[in-house]
Amino acid sequence: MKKATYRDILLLIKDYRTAYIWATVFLILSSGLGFIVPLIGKITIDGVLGGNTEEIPAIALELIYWLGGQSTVSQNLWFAGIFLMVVSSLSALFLYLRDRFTAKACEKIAKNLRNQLYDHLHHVSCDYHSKTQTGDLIQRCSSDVENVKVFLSKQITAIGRSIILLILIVPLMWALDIWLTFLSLFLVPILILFSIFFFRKVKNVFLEVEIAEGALTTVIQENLTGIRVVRAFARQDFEIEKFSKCNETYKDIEFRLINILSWFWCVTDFICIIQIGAVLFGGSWMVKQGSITMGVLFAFITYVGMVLWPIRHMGRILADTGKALVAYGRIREVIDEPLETDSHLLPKDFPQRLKGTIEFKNVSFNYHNNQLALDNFSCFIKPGSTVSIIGPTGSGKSTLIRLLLRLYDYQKGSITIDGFELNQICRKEIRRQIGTALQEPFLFARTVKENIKLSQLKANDKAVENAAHTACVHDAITAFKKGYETHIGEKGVTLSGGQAQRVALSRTLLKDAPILVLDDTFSAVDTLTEQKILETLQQRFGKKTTLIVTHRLSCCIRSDQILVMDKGRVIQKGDHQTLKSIDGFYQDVWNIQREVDKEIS
Amino acid sequence: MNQLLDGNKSKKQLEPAIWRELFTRYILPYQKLFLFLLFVAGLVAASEAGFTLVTRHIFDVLTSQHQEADLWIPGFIYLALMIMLVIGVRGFIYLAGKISTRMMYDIRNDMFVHLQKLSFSFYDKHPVGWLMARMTSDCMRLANILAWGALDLFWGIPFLMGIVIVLFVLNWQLALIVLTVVPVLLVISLYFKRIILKSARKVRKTNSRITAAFNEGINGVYTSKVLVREKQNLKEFTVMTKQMFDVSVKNELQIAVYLPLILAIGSVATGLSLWFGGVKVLAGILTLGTMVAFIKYSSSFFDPVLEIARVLTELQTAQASAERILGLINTSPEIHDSKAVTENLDSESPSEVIKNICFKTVSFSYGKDEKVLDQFNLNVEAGQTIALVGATGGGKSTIVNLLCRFYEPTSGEILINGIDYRKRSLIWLQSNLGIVLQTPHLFSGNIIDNIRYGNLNATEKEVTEASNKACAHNFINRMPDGYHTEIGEGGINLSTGQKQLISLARAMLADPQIFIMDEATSAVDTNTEHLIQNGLENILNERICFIIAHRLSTIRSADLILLISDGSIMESGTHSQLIARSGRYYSLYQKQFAFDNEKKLKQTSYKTAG
Repeated sequence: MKKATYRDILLLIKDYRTAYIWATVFLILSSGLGFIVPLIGKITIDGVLGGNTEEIPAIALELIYWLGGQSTVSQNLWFAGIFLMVVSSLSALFLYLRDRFTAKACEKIAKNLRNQLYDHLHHVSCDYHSKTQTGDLIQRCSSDVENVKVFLSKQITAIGRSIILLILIVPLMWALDIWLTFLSLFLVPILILFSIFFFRKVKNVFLEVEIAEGALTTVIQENLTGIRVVRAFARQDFEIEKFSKCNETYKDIEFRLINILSWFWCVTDFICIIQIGAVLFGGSWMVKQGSITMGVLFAFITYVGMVLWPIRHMGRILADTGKALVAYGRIREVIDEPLETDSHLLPKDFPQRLKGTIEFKNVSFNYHNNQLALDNFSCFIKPGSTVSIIGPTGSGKSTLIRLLLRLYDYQKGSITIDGFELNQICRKEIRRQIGTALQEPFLFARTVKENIKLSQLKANDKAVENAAHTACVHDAITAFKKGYETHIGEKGVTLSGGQAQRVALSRTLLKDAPILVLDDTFSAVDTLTEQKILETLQQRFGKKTTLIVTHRLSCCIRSDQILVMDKGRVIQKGDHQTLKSIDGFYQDVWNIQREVDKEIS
Repeated sequence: MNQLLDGNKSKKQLEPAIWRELFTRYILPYQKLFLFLLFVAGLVAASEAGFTLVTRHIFDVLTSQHQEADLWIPGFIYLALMIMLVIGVRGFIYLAGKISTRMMYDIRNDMFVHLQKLSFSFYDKHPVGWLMARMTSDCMRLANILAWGALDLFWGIPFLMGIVIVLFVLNWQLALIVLTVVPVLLVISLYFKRIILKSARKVRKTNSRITAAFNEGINGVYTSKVLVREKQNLKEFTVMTKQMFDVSVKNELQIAVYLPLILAIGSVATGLSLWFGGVKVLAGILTLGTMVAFIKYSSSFFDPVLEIARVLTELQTAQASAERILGLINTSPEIHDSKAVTENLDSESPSEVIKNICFKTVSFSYGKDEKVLDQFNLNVEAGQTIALVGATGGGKSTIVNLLCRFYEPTSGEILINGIDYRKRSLIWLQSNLGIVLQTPHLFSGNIIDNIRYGNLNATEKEVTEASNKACAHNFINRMPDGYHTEIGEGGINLSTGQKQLISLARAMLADPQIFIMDEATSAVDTNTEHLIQNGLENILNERICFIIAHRLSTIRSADLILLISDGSIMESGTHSQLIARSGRYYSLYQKQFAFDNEKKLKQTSYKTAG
């Protein structure tokens, strides 16, 4: 697994530089103003209440004089109070502005990533899809994107905040008192190192918790989906025992994690309190010695609190950034997968609508392994003719269709449509000219009508119903309560295999392409219906080049040409009458069929 | 029940009854730990409040005694407070962790045990995904709120109360002024937490829609390519991601407003302390230390207020979870042993031989819908094999479900050896069953454990014998680790046919008196199926067997074939009798042939192909 670097992930921000720069500006403003608040307290304590004007910075002094001198300010202390509120509120406002900028930028980045992934997955090769697992891809597109977003919005800003806090506070403290600065910060490196070290160690325990949780989920899932098996063998007690064990393990490991975390909190609390104590008592001692004023002590006590708590979380955040790197690495793997190469230009005089002559010449193809799925395959299909392709599983029938649709590209030989070489034609244009119903129909979670209209968005209801009629599924659809508006999928009805195939066929027919490809489209449809559909098809469309991949002889009987395939080659060719009288594969199958017929009668 | 499913809408009002039940069920057992947790929480709150008092004291002695100020006593107190806090924090998290994990354990166990008792009618209404969510996320949410929420609440409230008391003791007039901020903070927090929760829910919903779209996009990629839908798909998808952008930005902006707002309001308290405190210091009514204490307290009390607000809002979502969980645990199983049966459980003879099963005018309907089975009668003797054929939805599976007592007849009765099976225990009937289903369910683990599921005490030899009879032995032996091969979750490393054979072996190992095969060998090739058939014949002697099948070779050898349609028997008899009648069975048989033939064609061609 490729892990992304911080640089890779930061490149995502590049287009949103302005937003991040603004966010940083507001962060600095907000932190800076935040640090002024304790100074107001300090000046009030020293200058106004203590009457110690030497300790007041020149700007503040001028401000006080402008307001009417020290005595006026003492009599109007509301001014200090209001000033404090205003400065704090401004600091808060800038904090909001920072979050506003990062939130919008990050959500935009996430949105673009999602769109990019979605589109990319539609344009990578089919080969890629056959190799990858859906679940894994989905995880990359959802939770990995989320992890990256959290990194960009929360983690980077938290790290930035800690750094800016330290950068701003050190000179400020330094100006007030050098020794006390040291007393305020000497444990900070230890705090950071401890928390980084701690979370690096604990990572494994987090992982163990995840594994235990996964095991528990599996047991529950398997029990619930297999509840019939459990009951049928009366294994309830066995299941409960199995579950209890996993439940116990999960409980124990989770408790172990919490227990370890409790050490983190109490140790860091310990470090922080010692640090604060050092300031309090060291500072007091210095006040006693007269080297600093009470106001300075007050300011330092407040500053220590402001710096320590955010820094304490750093270890956790730094440990979590690793997750974002892994996640982004996984996303990049998808995005870096090359797109299908495509010629965007069409050959000259490529017609709006093809006639439908198809020719395969010595085509060979293999899927990665050394076995040829198509081996020097040749055939010629006349426009308007119907060709059936028959042969055992794995003989290359579906490969043929995939090559014709340019879902895969042929490696040797040539395929032409109306004389145009296939790999010179843009993939989408070829697919526009070929109406295809695939072996396993995929229906989207929408209404029946929307599913049929997928191929022709602008089709009217009449055309949809016509297509459904031809595919012999109109009656089945109208039998649903909501007819064509019936939802398919999780929230709606589940169609039977045959119904799904016929809805998918209607979708193909609605498109009215010059070439029709039916890849085992009738496997779940009974023979009678199949015959009816084929008959209507011929009546309605007449001369359409039609390729039918099938396992049924009934389909072959009415076609102009039958190709019997085996191991990627054509082993027999001809029409039904010829083939049934020639010794060979086709005749064997024909004989089996006849025997069956005999047995029934 | 519907309310149980729609429980997502959290109600505005907190319902004490629910929390009372949860409390007695899950917290009371840990009474002592819980009280201890409260004590430690108080300790932590007290020591945290104490630190500021030490600061106050130091400021006071420094102003009044200058060089003579004694720092040793406050130093020791500081150290003592520190030790108290560190120990407290450790104990606090330890205890809350202990209670929460145990509570989660208890809740999950209760649910799981109860799920094992609930009837199939319950499972029909609640999809597995829904149940999984109850067992995982609801459970987690509830335990979190019960332990961690309580922890925050029991730390926050004493801490806040401690601050209030200290402030009033120090100077009640100033306390009154400063504390005016607290109710404002609380109200604003509650408001924001609520709207943030709402928008977060919207974000989650949109997110799951996007995930679903990805799922569809990836699974349907071939279709999309073939239909040249890429552009249109993306267009529709961007509408969704745009919406996601809108709702999540809204959610994040709400969060972005909330915290600064709280900070700003908190600063009002600090400002007021400085203003009125300063005035009083100048007037000599207040010491400097007390003013500093006021300023420090005023910046620390929004922490507990935030926590309290958070817990209070989470309580509402947790209530929805609690409702669903309690709803599940309190659902009583529709099918259960009657009192009389439970009392006489010992007198039941487990080895009773089943000689006869009789369906007597059995009618059945799922819910209030139309009857699936209508006045159904059937008498089966030991040694008989009954084949059920007919269209889907005709009632075949219902007959089997009733026989297994997964459901009970709505009217009529089913007698086993002349006794209504409701007068027997569920466990007796079900331990005499052997079921093989079309979609075989295997558990993750190795093959031998899966077969042993049929008989937990079976020896290795018995397992091999059973799988031999099920024709599974050969392919299992060819696996890398033989019988000890891990099959992966749900058996992903096996083909459906192989899974069917393993589940058949499992049933054979159980050696049941009633054998039920529901399309059990649909994915097994004809030759193997033939071998299995022969093996079964010996086993089925003296036993009762029900077969639901589409394959003719399986049906043909049955002693009695029932053609079931619309909930009753349309035709019955042996194969030759039914063929001779040329009725519906005959035409079904013919139709079926087309499919069988197709399968045969695929296989023969395989052989010719070599």
